[in-house]
Amino acid sequence: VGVRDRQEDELVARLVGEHDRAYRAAWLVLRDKHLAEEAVQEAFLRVWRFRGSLPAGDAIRPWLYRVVVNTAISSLRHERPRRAHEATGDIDAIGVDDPLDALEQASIVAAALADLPEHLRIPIVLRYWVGLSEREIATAISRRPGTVKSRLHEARTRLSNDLRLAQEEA
Amino acid sequence: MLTEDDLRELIDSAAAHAPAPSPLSDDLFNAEARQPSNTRHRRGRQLTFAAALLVVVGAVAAVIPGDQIPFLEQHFIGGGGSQKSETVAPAMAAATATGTGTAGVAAGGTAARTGASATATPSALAAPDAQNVARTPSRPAAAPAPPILPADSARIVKNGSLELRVGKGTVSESVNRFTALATGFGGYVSETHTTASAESGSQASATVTVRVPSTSFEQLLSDTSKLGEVRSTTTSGRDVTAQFTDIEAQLTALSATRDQFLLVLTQARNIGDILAVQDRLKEVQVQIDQLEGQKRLLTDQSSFGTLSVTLLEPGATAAVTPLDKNRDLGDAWREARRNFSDALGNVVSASGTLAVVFLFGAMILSAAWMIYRRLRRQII
Repeated sequence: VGVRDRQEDELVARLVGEHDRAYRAAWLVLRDKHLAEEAVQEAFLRVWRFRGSLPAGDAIRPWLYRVVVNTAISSLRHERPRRAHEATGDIDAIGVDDPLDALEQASIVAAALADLPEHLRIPIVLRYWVGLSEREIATAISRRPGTVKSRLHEARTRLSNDLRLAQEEA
Repeated sequence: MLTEDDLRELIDSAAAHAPAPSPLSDDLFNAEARQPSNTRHRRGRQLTFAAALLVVVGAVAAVIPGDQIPFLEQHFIGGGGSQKSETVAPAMAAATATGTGTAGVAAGGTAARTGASATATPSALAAPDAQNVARTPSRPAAAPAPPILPADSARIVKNGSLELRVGKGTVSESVNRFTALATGFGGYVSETHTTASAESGSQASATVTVRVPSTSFEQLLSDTSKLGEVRSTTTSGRDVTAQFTDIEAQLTALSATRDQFLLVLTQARNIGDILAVQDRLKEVQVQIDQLEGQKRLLTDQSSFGTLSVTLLEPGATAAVTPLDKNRDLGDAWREARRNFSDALGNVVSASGTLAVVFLFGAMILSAAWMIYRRLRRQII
């Protein structure tokens, strides 16, 4: 019992420590604060509920984000109609110290990300925000590493073009 | 294109500007949630119970006599086995009694269907009156009667050999009588081998191989056995009906294809088309020729049985002529395949209920494993 409690404490600590990053990953996918919170909470609950089946060691991280991504996708599909007219997202009220161009840039990047199709957006978020390797992303989204690599490449190309266009328009 | 570092920086900035999340609920991992996962345990128990129930049902179904469960009777326990035993029994009977009677390969078509062959020991067949031996049932009287098969549809390749002891100095005469018998049935001599006696210069032994219409094979066997004392007899029957039917079907299909190509050929407008169609036509024709060759061979083998008779003077010895000298690699392969499937069938029938229980168990465990995997996937 003692060992189990210790393992559960470790899991709670890991989840709490990962919460902010997981939430922002979900937000980058969903661009909705409440949906992102709900998705992460739901993901954490699932992880907790099935804590007996979790992989050991560092393998838990891609697994955790696999759950987060799946709940986010599920949320995305259920909430898509509602989100259609909230597509501008909700970049947070910026602090007084933030320069205006930083806010503008964040909005542009978030919009460009939102324009990416789901199958490109998720690998990009997992790679450049969560920091998973291509192999870990492959595990997280149940695809082959080669597929992940090509999706990342395509997503980067499209993001570059979109951001360049946005910059030119600006 | 953006470099990875640029992209990482941009996405970091976008993520950093996301609205701050609400703090994680304190109740999320509360004391109640820390209790063992009831759902998971309950699901595990349900799975275990379902698997155990299925195992029990499978085991019960397997041990209940087959005739009480028609499905099992037909597919797993009784049906195949009993059918086979009905087939095997006459086959064995045929093989052991062939030396002597019409009952031999007569039982017939069935014996051949299983490809059964057997050799009667001299002691078993050394009765003074071969006719009596022929009428002696070589299987229990209670054994089921052989099923009646459509004689015209089955194509059986019949082979047999017979070793006879004849009186001193009568080998030559017996050879002539045997040859006369065979030709009387419409057969012909395909091979003869004689050995002279060192003392008298007359024939000490002779081996004569004849081919006789399959319909007269058993009768010839029966009549030949009266020429002397039967020392040993071997018969075999190979059912080539399926092979024959398959070849005929292929021929029909290929002929239709050839007709289509011929039609196309008449409508072809340019040289290229004509040459292409001719190539295909040639390929089809080659296949048709090969199949027709196989069909002719099977027709010949099944129309004429091969009987090899060795006649020996007292004291003389002769090697038994191989059953079929015309065996090629294809025959050997087919025989090996048949023997393998027979052996497999024997293992399955010998393992009986245990195999059925094992099979059910394996199926159930596989199903349970798949369900478990699916449920496990659902959590992510």
